[in-house]
Amino acid sequence: MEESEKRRERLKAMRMEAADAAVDANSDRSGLASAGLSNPLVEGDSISSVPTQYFSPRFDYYTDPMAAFSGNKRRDSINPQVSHGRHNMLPRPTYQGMNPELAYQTPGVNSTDQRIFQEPGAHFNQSLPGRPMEYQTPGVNSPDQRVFQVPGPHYNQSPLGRPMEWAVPSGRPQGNAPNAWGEPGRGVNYTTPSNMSRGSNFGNPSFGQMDSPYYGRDQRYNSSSHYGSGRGGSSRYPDSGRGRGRSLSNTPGSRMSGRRGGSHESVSAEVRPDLYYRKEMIEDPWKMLSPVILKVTHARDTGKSWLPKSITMKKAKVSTEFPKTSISQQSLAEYLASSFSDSTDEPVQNEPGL
Amino acid sequence: MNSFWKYYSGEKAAPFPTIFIGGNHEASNYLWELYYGGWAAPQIYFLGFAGMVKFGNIRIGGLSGIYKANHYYSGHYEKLPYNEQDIRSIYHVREYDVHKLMQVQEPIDIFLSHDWPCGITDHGNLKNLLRQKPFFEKEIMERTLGSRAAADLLAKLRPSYWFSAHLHCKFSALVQHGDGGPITKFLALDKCLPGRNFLQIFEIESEPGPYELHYDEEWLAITKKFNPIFPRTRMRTNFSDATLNMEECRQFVKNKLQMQGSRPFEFVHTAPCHNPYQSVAINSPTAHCRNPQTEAFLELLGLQYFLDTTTQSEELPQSSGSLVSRGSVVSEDIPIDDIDDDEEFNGIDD
Repeated sequence: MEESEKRRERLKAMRMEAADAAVDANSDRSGLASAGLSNPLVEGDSISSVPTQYFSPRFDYYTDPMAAFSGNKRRDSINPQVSHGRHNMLPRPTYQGMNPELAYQTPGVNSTDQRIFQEPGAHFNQSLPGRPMEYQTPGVNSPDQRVFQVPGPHYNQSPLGRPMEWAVPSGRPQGNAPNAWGEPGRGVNYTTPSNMSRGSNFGNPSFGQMDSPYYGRDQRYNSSSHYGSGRGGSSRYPDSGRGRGRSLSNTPGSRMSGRRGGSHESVSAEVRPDLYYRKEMIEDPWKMLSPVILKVTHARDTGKSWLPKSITMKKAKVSTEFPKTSISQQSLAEYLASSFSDSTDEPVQNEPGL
Repeated sequence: MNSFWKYYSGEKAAPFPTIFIGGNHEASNYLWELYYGGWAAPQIYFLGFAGMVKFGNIRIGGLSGIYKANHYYSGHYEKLPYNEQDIRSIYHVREYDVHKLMQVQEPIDIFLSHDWPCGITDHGNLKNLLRQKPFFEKEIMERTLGSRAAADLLAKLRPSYWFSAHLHCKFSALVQHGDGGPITKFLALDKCLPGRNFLQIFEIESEPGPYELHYDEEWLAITKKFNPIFPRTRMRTNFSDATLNMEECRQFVKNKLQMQGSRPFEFVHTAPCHNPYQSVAINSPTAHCRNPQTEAFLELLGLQYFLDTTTQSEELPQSSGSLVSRGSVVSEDIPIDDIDDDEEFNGIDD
């Protein structure tokens, strides 16, 4: 019996010891949560779901309490962009055919022989009519020395209708001039880095140079943190559709552009392309004009021609060579056609152009 | 401004094939090396003091410099090292170059001149121009604003487009050449500064590529015909001395281009690249440099190099009464070739 009672006491003691140990263990475990000076605003049941990096930058609360709040907001806003990508947020249909007024594009040329040329092509991507958001000159890869591929501008427009990014033509001719410019004699080989635009930074709210513009490095600029709001209108750019109208070029400071002594006059277009853009640049400069017939008279103080005799005589000579034509009564095309007809009667036949 | 050296050295590259003419603020000694045209930097082609090229099937011509009557009939007499007068006269348009351009018969799509053709203001919104530049009014009324030489070229060549600069403002005009005649669309642009209308994007119809630069056959024939009388003195050029037959010149050029191709010769460095960390320029050029592009061009056409030589007529007495504008060279005021921005910007913003 005694042995039985002793066993009960030992068992009780063991249970108590085990219970004490459990209490200690629980108290230690609960202490882990507060070990990292966690944000009281987010502390709670979700702790276990917060990524590890969440804990790393917490010590700025003491010097800047609002950093935690802004940090949370920034994280909330940036993460979706990072995960889904910039281009999902801003649909970028190709510009071709969407807005003829803006398009400056010539059809591409690709051939497989050694004289491959890709002409300058402007590729406009925009989600809504408005101003360019991105200006990029794509890289050029020349597979051989006879290939001359000319970079073209790529405009990508956001619903805001403002310049957002300008990836400047970076890079330099590969190799050292003159040999870098193509085959001996005539060739031109111009190469710039490619892959400059896609997936570029968009979420950065700052406007700043992210890399050197020199020697083939990409350079990207975000001119404002307001992109994506897609509302409002711009008085300066009335044709910018749903442009918000709060671009940097719309700020009072930017109105100094063009003013003498304005600080922006020394700002490179590579740094602030928005300051150098005006909507008139893509509008027809002759649309409001009517043709006026040219009067060939000059200085009113002299009735005679200012031209030297040599030119005057040459003009007369030309007119005698084509006596049946009159420049003033015929179009230039008609005049040239008649000239060509005359020349075909001569022994030496000329081929117009090259 | 002040960044050309980066394009020359290759530190930067022009994003598009770029064609330019000289105005009154260029490095005249460098452009003189490329008198007949050539690559001033990779992707940046100088049309020459007068020139014509084709980009694809687009024919582009141009006249460098600005018009000043007192130098117009002189030859290209300036020689390195330039004195104070040479620096200001070398970019003045010469009769010789205009005369060559006046020989062009085939249609031109685009023509470039630095200063505006005289009288062009009759063909645009003059009221708006004077609102921006009220100080132009007197010269416009007196018909002295702009280049007379360019005005005659405009009337003769009748290009589809004519682009100018110099007066630091945007101005467009439509010039109709006679009743029912062709129309020239004129456009001048402003300085390249923030907020200014320095750029214009427009479409021009063309045939499918390749979009590359080529020599112009007719222009090369004209060059060949008149190069033997290349004027290197102050004397007025006697064009009747150009005795070569134009048709033969044309056939010669045609054969050459068929054999050797029509693409311009490639860019070549002829000077050390600028070092921005070197405060003082060392070894400033005092003598003419023969640019290999120019030498190759002249060799192609079988022409003599005159850019650094004196002709027989150069040794004639300079005091002769036959010389042109001798007195005026001395008395000429330093040309006010630029527009002071102090007077600008009235209403230039929207």
